[in-house]
Amino acid sequence: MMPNDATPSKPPSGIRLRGAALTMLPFTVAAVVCTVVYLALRERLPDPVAIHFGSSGEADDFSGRGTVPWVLLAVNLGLGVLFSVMTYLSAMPARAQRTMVAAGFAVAGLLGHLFTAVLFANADVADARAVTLPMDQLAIALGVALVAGAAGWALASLGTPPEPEPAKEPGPARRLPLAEGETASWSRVTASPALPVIGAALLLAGLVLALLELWAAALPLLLSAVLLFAFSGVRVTADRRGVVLSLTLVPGLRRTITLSRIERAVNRPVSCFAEFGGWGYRVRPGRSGVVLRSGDALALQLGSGREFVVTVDDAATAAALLNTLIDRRGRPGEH
Amino acid sequence: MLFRVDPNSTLPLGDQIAASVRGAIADGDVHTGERLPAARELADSLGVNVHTVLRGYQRLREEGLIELRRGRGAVVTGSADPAERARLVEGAHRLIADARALGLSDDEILALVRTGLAGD
Repeated sequence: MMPNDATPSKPPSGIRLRGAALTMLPFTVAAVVCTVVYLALRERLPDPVAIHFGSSGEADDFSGRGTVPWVLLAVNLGLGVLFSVMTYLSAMPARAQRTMVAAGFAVAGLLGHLFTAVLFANADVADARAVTLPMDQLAIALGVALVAGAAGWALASLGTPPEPEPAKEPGPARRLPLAEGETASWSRVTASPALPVIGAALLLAGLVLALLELWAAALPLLLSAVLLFAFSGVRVTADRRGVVLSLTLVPGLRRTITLSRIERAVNRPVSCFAEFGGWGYRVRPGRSGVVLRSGDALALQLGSGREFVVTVDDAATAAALLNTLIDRRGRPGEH
Repeated sequence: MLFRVDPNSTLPLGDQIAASVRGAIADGDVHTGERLPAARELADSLGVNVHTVLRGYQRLREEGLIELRRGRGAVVTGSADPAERARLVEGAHRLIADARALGLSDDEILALVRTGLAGD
């Protein structure tokens, strides 16, 4: 276990704070906008206010006018804190933060629009039961969410290092020069740019359904979103044991391809859809692997004749190390 | 990133692990905010004692290159430019190694640095 070291005098890493701040920003804006709109419309709102609408657009749930601004503030800031804490704790590099930030912007955009639409729908109506909110407001809110998400992505992209160059052709089965008795371990985290986006989309959809109180449909979507976020980062380690894959968020879950099963390792470019039919843990005739993006990948040729592939940057170094360790394994007297 | 340890080298294993991380930071193989492998994992991976890895990580923490957080593990810090800082630390180690090879005591090395600081 890591030593208990709180380092209270050291400021947190700038990148993690930046990610947390960027995800908090849209929710803060939504909170401010909702509060300002409420204050501007307050005299014109009925008491109680209509806060929920059925599929026909008619009001079916109400709340005291005085509690409304506090509830809106709590939801906006509460979600903001939730998102920014998740971003901070995940300690993702700047490039990977973009998805979380975009998701935060999208959710804040959706809710901010819906909340202000409800306030405006209530304005200048004497009795809250007569207030209506047509379904197309939901469609508009989704549009706002998309635009806000794109804006969040663009904002989070500023100042991030560029993508590394992908490998153009399969490399040869290289070796890493290791001295007698020297050993080495190669480790990298590979993150999926796609799975968190799908996770964010499912989260949005789940939230929309939850707002409509269709809990039976909302719950599985929200759970799937959580699962996708959990699987979006994988740590790949190449060493004397072979290749070890573990989830960054659930380190106990891992898969090891032992060195004895590997004949040869190379790096080669991989196309997720063309070769594997999609993202994630994929199985195909003759090959399987953890494919989180297209591009550079570590390809293991197994003794069984199958190929196991992991998409990860700097796969060439991993392959070279594995081949050197495999050579050693074959020599008499080596373990 | 690549960790290399050679039990036949005169440099202690913990220091070799720290040097691997410094090299990776200097080369840009690992960026600010990225997490290093958990100490127990790295120890298992290299076939060394977990305390050896912890010594290496503590050293990096003292040098300001990583933060150690309970439950989160070792994370590369954003303080200053980590690559430049790593190169600076390597430079300091070379100075110390050269000075010791010439027979300077620790106090004499410190006096050397203070004279340099006072002079600028």
